[in-house]
Amino acid sequence: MDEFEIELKQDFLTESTDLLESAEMSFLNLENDRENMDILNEIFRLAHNLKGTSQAVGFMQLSALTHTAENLILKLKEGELKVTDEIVTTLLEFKDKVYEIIEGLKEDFNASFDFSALEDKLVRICEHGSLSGEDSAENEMVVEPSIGEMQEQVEVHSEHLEQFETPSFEPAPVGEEEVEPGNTLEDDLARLEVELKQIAAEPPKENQYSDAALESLRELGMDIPSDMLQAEVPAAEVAVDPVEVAPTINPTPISQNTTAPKASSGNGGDSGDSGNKPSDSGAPKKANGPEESIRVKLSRIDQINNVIGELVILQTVVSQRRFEFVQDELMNKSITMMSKLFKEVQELAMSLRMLPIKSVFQKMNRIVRDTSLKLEKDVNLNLVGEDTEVDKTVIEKISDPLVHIVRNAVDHGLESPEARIASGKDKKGQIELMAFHEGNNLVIQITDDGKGINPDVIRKKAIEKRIISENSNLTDQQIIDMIFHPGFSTAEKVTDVSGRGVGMDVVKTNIEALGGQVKLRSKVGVGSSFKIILPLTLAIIEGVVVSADSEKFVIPLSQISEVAQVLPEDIESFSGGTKLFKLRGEVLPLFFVNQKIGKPIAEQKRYTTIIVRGLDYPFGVVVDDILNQQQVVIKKLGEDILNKKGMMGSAIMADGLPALILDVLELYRDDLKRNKSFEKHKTRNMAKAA
Amino acid sequence: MSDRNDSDYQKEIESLRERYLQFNLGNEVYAIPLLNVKEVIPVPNTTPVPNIPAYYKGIMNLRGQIISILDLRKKLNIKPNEDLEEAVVIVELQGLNIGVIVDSINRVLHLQKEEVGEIPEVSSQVNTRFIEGVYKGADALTILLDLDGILNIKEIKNMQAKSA
Repeated sequence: MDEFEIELKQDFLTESTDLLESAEMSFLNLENDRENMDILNEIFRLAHNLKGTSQAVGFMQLSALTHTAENLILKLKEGELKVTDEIVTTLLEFKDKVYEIIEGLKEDFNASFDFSALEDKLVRICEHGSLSGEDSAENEMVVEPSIGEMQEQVEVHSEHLEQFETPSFEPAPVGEEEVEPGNTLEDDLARLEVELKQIAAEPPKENQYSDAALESLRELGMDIPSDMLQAEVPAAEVAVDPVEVAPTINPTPISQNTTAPKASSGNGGDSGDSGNKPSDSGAPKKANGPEESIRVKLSRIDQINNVIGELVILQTVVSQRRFEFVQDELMNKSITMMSKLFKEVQELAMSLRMLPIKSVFQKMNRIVRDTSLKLEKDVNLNLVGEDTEVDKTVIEKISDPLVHIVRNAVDHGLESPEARIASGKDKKGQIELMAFHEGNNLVIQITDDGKGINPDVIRKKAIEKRIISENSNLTDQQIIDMIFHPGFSTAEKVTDVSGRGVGMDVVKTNIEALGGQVKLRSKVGVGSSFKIILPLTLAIIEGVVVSADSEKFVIPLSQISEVAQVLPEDIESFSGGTKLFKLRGEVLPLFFVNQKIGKPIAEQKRYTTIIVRGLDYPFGVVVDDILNQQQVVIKKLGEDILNKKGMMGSAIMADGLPALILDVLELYRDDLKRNKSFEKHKTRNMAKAA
Repeated sequence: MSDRNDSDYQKEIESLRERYLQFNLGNEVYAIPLLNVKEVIPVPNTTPVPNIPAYYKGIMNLRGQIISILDLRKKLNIKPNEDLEEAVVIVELQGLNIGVIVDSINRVLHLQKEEVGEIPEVSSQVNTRFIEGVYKGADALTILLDLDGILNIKEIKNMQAKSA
């Protein structure tokens, strides 16, 4: 495979992920608005685009599957079938499968996939409008008219067929061929195609699939309906290749949407390759003045940010010195102007990494749909603030916790429709997903109008699980927060949707790993509300710059609980270098940063100590001085020292020199463990002495 | 894409491969393939990193990118010429950017394959494992170093794969 081809395939795979997202959105829209031609046209266009492009770059399996779905969509579009729940579900399944295939292809271009079950479903729905009625005897009946129907179509569009016609029309012994196992899908398709062309050219014989053949199929353990029906796939290909035929047979729906300029479909970079299909209808996107966009590698944006960061540092140096060394007024003015522009450029560059949270929110549509269907609840999801922008890395990582919370809201939060009616609420449950900026944070709020969390139930459960003791004196809010406790699940019965005991604690851990917090408010009978507060970007943290032996280090503010001045007389040294100190009556281990970096510890009248309480065991770290608090951009360390313990990365200080960002929790984890055992030993000795 | 044909391109790559950057470490003359060299800069201010081997000088800010600087003399156990730090060569090894400190940069060598000899029996301060070959120039011997091997790039990469 040459490089160009590889590039084409890779581009296709990235683009099709976008296509799928729009497809899912459209499927869900379709469910709510079943008659809407625009949505159907859009779906058809997407499917068609996917089929054409996947074929063009050589992913034949994908193209074959999409083709099957396209046939179904065409029938919907032309009004031959009505949109049903079943159809939407199947289409969503189709989307999932395609997603799976695309992900698989990303790993390996030659990967092969099994989607026969889904394909079978699609074909069956395409034929009957539903999945039911697939008894083999009945099936025999249905196959016939369908061939007849196809025959009809062929006759209508015989001019399109001519190009497919093969010179010989010896009818192949269909039943016999069908039994052949072990063929690849492509082979099957190709062969069936030929067969069907033959069938198409000949009037169908009654009972072409003899009982005997069916019997032998059954003996082979083959899924008869599926095999029989699979024949329909290529059949449709012969008869109604929608690309060529659609405009001629049914010009009405197409003409509605050809008004949209073709160029508009270039928006989002999702249809660049569709040009080779002339009848690509260029269905209108819900366009409010489509803005053009291009796809840029994240690493390039980071490079730009790097360079601009450097420029800003240099600019600062120039600005600071201009009064001393620059006499020219115009030059001074220009330097001031430049400073402003640089700031602006830097902000712009930072904003390049920001994306609207829409993609994550839209995923929730699907989650709510699937979950509520499974639980037979009626739920309306309301999205607010979809355009709120947040760093791409945050978007990637927030998705899973959010899925969990939303799923929980549908499962545990909302009552069953009966219970809702009984308590005087609307049958339809409401879940609101809201995103907004608050200071330097992104806030995502998930609110449901369900039954709320009953503190009494939680309390009982917590006591049962021995998380709290019976006479513990906690407020209701504290009790409610217990649901974030590991191993806590309040679902009265374990459903397959949620309630496996792992859950909210994982959500909490994940969000905290992002430097965020999650809060929960709940009122019995009114509903619950989760509030997730996240930093806008993971690339910038609030840090405290400290000095240790003339070197600067940055400690993340989030790790610092407080700063204390420790007097030498409050420090007690033990053999082995262990030091303990007293802080308001609490005895904590004490470490010196200087020791970690192999520098001498200077005697001081009082030691500036940073108190860290992140681990289950608090400790103090002595630094020489605390310089300032500032936001720093986290830079990756060279890969060669990336794995060094206790170093989160580095930050470039105002003087242009890098400073290490210390992860003090990691840095002292081992020392703490040692200290802990020492501590135990010591207390035991003390107990003995007493 | 360029309109140069492939063979021209190949030739240029080949000729680059045969070019080496020659530098001094202590009293010896060494060289590394020019293809690995990204740039040469004066010794920058570096920030020390705790808990790493002594040959790690620290990290530096190279136009916004954080790069580790190592002292090749300490790594190879070569006594430096006084404490004269002259230059840092930024090399790219298997996608990693690393700066190495050398005493001084001499020039770019154009080598013919036949001019590169086997590792001689003479004692060098460098473990022969890390020597690719020896170039017998007019005046002195130049030792062609295998930087990949010396810096154990493979192991670093492996470590990463494991930790990832």
